[in-house]
This record gives sequence, structure tokens and C-alpha cells, in this order.
Amino acid sequence: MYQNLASDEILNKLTQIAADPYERAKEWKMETGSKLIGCYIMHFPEELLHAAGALPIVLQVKEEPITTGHAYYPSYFCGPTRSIVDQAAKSELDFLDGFVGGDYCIQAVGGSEVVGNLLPKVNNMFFRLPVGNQAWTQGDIVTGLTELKRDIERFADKEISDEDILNSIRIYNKNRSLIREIYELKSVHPSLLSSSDMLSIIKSSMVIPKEEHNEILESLIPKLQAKKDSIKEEGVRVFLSGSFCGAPKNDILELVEQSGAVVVGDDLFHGYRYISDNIAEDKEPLAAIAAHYIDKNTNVPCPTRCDPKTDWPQYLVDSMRKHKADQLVIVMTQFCEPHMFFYPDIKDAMQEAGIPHLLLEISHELDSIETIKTRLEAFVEMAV
Amino acid sequence: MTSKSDGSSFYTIGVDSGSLTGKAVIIDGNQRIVSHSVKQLGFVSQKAVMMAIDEALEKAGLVLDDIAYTVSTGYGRKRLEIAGKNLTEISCHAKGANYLYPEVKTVIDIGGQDSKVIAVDPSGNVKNFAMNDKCAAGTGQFLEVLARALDVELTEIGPLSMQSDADIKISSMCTTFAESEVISLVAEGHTTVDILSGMHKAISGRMKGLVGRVGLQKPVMMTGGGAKNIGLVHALEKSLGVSIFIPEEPQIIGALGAALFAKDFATGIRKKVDEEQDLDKSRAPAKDCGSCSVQNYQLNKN
Ligand code: SF4
Repeated sequence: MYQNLASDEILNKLTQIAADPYERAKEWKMETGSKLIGCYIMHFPEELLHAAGALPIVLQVKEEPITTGHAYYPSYFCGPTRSIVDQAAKSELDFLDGFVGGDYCIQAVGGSEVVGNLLPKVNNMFFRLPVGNQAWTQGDIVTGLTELKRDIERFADKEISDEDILNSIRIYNKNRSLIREIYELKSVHPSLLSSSDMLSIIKSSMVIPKEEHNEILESLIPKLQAKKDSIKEEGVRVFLSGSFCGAPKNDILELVEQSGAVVVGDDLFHGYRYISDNIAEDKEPLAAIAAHYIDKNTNVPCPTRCDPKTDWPQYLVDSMRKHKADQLVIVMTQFCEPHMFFYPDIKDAMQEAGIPHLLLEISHELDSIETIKTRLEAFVEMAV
Repeated sequence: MTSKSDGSSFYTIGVDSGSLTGKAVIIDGNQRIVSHSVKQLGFVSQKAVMMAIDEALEKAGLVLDDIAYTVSTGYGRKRLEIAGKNLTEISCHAKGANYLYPEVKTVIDIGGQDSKVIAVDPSGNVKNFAMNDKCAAGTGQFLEVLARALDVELTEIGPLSMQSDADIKISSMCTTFAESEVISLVAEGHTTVDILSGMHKAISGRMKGLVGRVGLQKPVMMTGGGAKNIGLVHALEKSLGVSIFIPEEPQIIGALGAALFAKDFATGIRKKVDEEQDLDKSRAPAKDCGSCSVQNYQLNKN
């Protein structure tokens, strides 16, 4: 279906899916009669939910102002949690059959609780993901996964075999590998895809069946390969970091490029963080998923994982060097405590490494795009 | 008229299309300011910008065709068709401030819509900057709203506030809430001069936070319309604990920087000017205000 389309047409299709993120999932539910599970943004074992025959989708932040949700979650909490609460309060998530909340961040715990209460007809589950990286951490994560597996089996009325999980792992690994292939292409030819294109690729992967997404990417990659050498490369090389849980606003990503920069790499959750590593296919599946949580955090450290063996600021310095990036743009979700906690260390590390960085603290509804534009342009002008 | 080879008949223009005013500066090939103009008409008014350009040209006895290159800056920078390039106010203020005062390390620009703190290197490049990014509190617009609430002319608020030694606190830094706070203070019987002084203290407190994000390095220069408000300058000096240098025409520093960039573009130097820029006599401190530590820097006019 996608083979005959040009790369731009495929990217447009992915952009459309990303712009209306729940539509394809709703269609899938109608077509298959199977169950849909909404995951509360970061760190969920989608493979395990998929193995039960359900379609897990990562719930997405909506850019519209928060209204009804105000009554349930205070405005001094982060935009991603408030937006999901708002969607639940407006009955926009009633199409879900199941919902999985999590404890990776205090705001997510509270948000999950509220969403669970706002969706009384939706089966409400919880994934307990222990933090840290001690000798016992992997075993603890396996316990959390086993509890979730038990709840999903009950919800789906189906026993999940190791073979089912392994099969799902293979499909999800394939998706991650394909997206990483695109990242490799973009790292050498940064102007081949805009950062909004990359966002559409990742965001669409989060909300449609991975099998379908794999098919789309398999059509897209050869077309990008064919096009890569004809692309003219110019601009200040920028690395993008942060933006936990919610996708960075498209307007802001576009401004980065309009300011004369090219994005050569990122550690965004709606970016490389989501696909940085595969799950081992030759191990007992739950143990492999648990190991993956520890390994992917070594690949791209996440402040919510509280892993003393990883060093996010140093990772950023190393990534900047690896990608030959000139500047770092940090997109921080306003009131994102884990990110705020790490920022002073990142700032020090950048200063020590002589890497200029710009912090954009983005609130859900209040930012002046004009001011952000001036700041981004002035920042890029510093490198010209 | 001198010959072309000495640079004095080669001209570039910098245009600052600000949120409330249009400014233009013409310099010659020797980087001497030939003329400048400031016009106020309304929000990002193209008309004000064109009037400023026309006036600067007229003062210099030039026509647009005499201009080798134009750089625009400010909110409306992208809308000026005659500009060969556009650059942000941040880069331009740094460049303009460095031209007037090469030792300057920190530039505080309080404009109509936003305020900025810029760390400048010895070549006039931006080392770091911070900008008020959430609202108009602490900007020219904020002062305008509050001046209106107090029924005082904008030009009078600085000198008036200097008459107060009261300690009035305006806690809210949201323009809308601060306006109602000011109205309450009036209702409580506080005098206009005391309230104005409180307003300046509130803004300088907020600016101190912005300065802290960049790191205060002396010498400090203030640019933009806010620098014309002596009450605000004093409050800032007090809260930062430094003397602040004020150019004679603080509103044209962005346009001046743009004109200097235009010269770099026209001559192929671009941004980084390595040569030492000596503070010549015409750019030395012109006069000290008797009552404070603020120094005026005079622009060298032909
Ligand atoms: S990690 Fe940040 S953005 Fe995500 S839920 Fe926690 S506070 Fe919100």
C-alpha cells in the first residue's frame, strides 16, 4: 500500500496519524473487535500488552488548553499529566478498554490515579517499575512485570505464553531497529528529515499497530536512502534534549530549523529515547524486558530511573561530540520535576565542556512563540 | 565630502522594528554614526519604521540608493523588505553596546515587550543571554499600563519616583494583577510618587533574577526605552549593587548594532570583528548626572 508512495507522501501520512493520534486505534478496534489499552506515556512494557492480543497505545498530550481537567488536577503540575487528565475528564478516552498507570514519577502516579477514577468503565491497571540499578533491581522489575501480566491476563481473558511475549518482542524490536536506521540516516544527512518528520515517525509508532508501522517504515527507508545524497546540508548542528512524556510542540521544532539550525540528534522521549535499544530475544521474556529497562537507561539515561550508575549530563556531552553538534537545545516541560532536578548538573557539564545550550521551559498553554523564536534565533546566531 | 577610499562615503543602515517604536541608524564605512532616528506610532508599526528610515536618510543628506547594505532587527525584522539580512535584537544590542563601550560585559535591555540580559564578549559577540519568556511584566508595556492607571505621563514616572523614600511593595508581577494592586494602593491613599517608586523596585527585583541567570559581570550598560527611565535605572543599580552606564540614545543601540552588522556583511567581514575597537574621544563618557552614578555615553555624530 505504501510502496508506490513517495517519501514525502508517506511522511504526510504519518503526520496525519500523529495529528489525530487515536483515530487509527479506534478504527483498528472496530475492524478487529479486539481491546485497546492506553498507557500513561513513558516506560510501559507495550510488548506484554500486545502479547495479550490487545493494542497498547501511548496516550498523547493534546495541545488544546486544559479546561474540564482543571477540576481534577492542579495547574502547577506538568502539562502531560494535566492534558491526559483533561482528556479523561472530557470523556475523550472512553474508547479505551484498559488503562495502565505507572509510578515512574510522582506526578504520573497522581495523574494515573485521577485518570483511573475518571474512566470507571475502563479496566484500570498499574505497572510498578522499581527504580535504581542495584543487584536486586532487575528481580524487582520482573515482579512488577509479573503482577501486570497477571492483571492483563485477567483483563484479556487469555493466558499469555512466553512464546506470545517473544513474538511481540520481535515485532517491537523490528520497529525500534527500523527507526534507528532512520536515525542513522538523519545523523549523516540531517536535512533529509525535519525534526517534525522524526516526531511524526515516533508519535505514529506509539499509536498504531506496530506491524502496520513496520510496513510503512519498510517502504519509507529505501526512499530516504535513494534521496539522501541529493540533500544539501547546511546550518548550525543542534542536539535536542528533554521533553519528557509529552511530544515537543511542532511549532517549536519548526522554529529550531527556521532559525538556521539542523537537528543532528536527540534524546527526546518522542525521539531516540523511545527506540534506543532492543529487548534480548534469546532470554526468558520477562527477565529480558526487565534487563531492557536497565540497559536502555544506560543507552539514554532517564532522570526518572534514579540510576546512580548512569550520568545523563555526561551522556549529553558525549552525544554532542558523537554527533558533532555545535549547540544543545533543552526543551523542558514546565513543572517537570525530574528534569528540573537534573538541569543544574546539565548546565554545569555544558559549561565545563564549552558547549552552548539554550533552555526552553515550555508551559502547556502560555508561551509566547515570538519570544521563543527570538531566543532560538539569537542562540543560533551565537554559533554563526 | 571626502573621497570613497577612506570609507566616509560608504553607508549602511540598521533598522530596529521594535514592538512600540521604529529606529534607524546610518553609519559610514569608518563605523561613524552619520544619523539616527526614533519614531513611535503603535505596535510593530511599519509606518514608524519607514518614517525612521526616511528621517535618518534626510538627516544624513542621503537617499536609499546610497545605502550599501541594510540589516533589520526587532519584532518586525522579517517584514522589512529592503533588509539584506535580519538578526535578533540580542545580537544587535550586544554589537551596538560593544561599539559604544568596548569594555561592556553585561547589557540590560528593557524594551516595549520584553527585557533581556546579554553577556557580551570583548568583540561584541553574545556569550549568553536570558529573556523574560512568560509575560510582559518588567517591560515598557508594563510601565505604560501602570503609568496610565496612575494618570502620569510615561516620561514623568522616572523623575517622580525619585522623590519617594517610602517602601511600598507591589507583590504581583503580572501586568493585569499589578494594575489592580496599584488601584488598591491609590484607594488606600498612597501617593503617586511612592507607588511609582514601588513599581520600579518590583521591576528591578524581577530583572535581578534575569541578571542572575546570565551572571552579573561589570561593567553593565542599559539599553532600550527602559534606560530612559531614571527611576528604574536607580532602582536597578540599587538592587544589583553596580553602576549602570546609559548611552545618550539608549533606544537606538539595536539599530546601531544592525548597522554595524550591515557593514560587516557589505564588506564580507560578517560577525566576528577581530580588530580592537578603541574607545575614541567622541565615545567617551560625556556627562555625569550630578545626582547619581549613571554615566551617559555620547554617540559620535558627524
Ligand atoms: S516525568 Fe516530567 S513530564 Fe513526565 S509525568 Fe513526570 S513531571 Fe510530568
